[in-house]
Amino acid sequence: MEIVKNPVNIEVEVELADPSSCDCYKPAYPQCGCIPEAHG
Amino acid sequence: MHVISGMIERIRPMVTKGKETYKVSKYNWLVVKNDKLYVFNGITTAIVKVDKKHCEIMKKCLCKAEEIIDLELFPAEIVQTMKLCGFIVEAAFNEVEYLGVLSNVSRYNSDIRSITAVITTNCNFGCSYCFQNKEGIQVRNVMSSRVIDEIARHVEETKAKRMNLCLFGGEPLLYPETCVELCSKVKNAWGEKPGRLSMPLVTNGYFLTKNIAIGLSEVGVSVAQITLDGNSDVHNLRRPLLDGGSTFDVIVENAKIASEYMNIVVRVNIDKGYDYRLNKLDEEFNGYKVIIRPAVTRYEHCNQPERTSENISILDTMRESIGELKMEDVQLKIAGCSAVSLGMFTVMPDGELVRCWNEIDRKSSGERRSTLFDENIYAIKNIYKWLSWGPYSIESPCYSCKMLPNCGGLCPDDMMRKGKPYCHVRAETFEQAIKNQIKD
Repeated sequence: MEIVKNPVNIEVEVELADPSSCDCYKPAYPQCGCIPEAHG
Repeated sequence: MHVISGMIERIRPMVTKGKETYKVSKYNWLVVKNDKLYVFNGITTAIVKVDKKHCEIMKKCLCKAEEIIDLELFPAEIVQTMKLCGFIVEAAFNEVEYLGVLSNVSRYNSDIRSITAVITTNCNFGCSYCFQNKEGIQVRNVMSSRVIDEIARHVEETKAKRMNLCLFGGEPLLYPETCVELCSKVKNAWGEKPGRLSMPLVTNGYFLTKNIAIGLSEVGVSVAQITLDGNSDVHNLRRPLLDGGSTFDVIVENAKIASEYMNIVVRVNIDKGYDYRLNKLDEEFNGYKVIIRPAVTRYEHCNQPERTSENISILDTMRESIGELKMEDVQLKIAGCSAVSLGMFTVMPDGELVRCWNEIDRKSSGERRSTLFDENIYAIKNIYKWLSWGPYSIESPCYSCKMLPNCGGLCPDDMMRKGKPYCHVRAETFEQAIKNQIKD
């Protein structure tokens, strides 16, 4: 067994704190990425 | 007492005297790439390559979600790895409840404040699929200095360590002075606080000229999202001016120039029957600091949710074919939408507060909505419907979904109104996304 990708330490590494933050550089979106209709 | 003893009875059969008892995680994915077996876990997001000699037993054991596992079947180091990577968890550990708790920690964290400022609901575009602006431009429909000052006051008073102010509309750049006034006052109100203030802009890009980009950049706007729906033919048909005039060339030119002063994200709405030609857009922006991001055109507001579902499917297939599957698909997502977080709100031009961007054009159902001028804008009673929503209860349609840790239940508004989620990723696509993480 070889670890290809390390486990995240959820309570330390994951940004629990920021519901408005974005994963892939899309700061104008809610985190889910679903913007209402085709706005903007 | 009854409840507690019932719980103990439920757990007791799993506990073997003097021995740790573990069960298989609900969120294991076994994928094969280049004839090698890999295991991925949705909560820890760890990926492990399995030795040939252990393939069969791993296949047999790790796909049986929540079943007690006999640890004596495995060498000690493998047991250790399985625990570390979350492939097995303590028998009494409820992974869904755990995700729910993490979600709550995030929702009620006072370190974060996020405000969406609807500068106006007026727009200069007449997009074929838009839910807004059906009544035409209304003169009084722009955020007043009184509302701006109140937003700035909240920013000044907040003890949050991170502040996000999103300029939204309608088309906010119909009123660039209002945008600059708001950002400038908010920037001053934030002052030298430790932490981070970010001010993104969502615009159609038509008025994002060099001077406006410079002006906004000077008051702290560092990113703008604009929208192009493919090449000029497609885009001009779908996103014309109110008088039907074309917009593509102006937006592209603006985006290129503005990218010298701020980051530009181009949203491309995917729709059935249109050739979105993403690659052509890539070529168009070659050499510029512009990120292109495909997204789904939604039709729930036209009571045509099946069209949305179709588009989700098209996007899903497209992402697979153009290799657009990214890290985000296999990351842990427990924070969910900011609409269900205490520290987030959307301010309408007159100071009325709504939670979700979808509510901007939705008439109130008769209940008085709270406003920015209320004594307690975070009054739980006003927003409990949002705060109490979650995909982690046993009644939720997401409860049994294997992708739950990595999608977070998606859109609360969809779920609350339609009773079901619009899932953005199929299991097959998700598997492909896991494989894309594996560099062999």
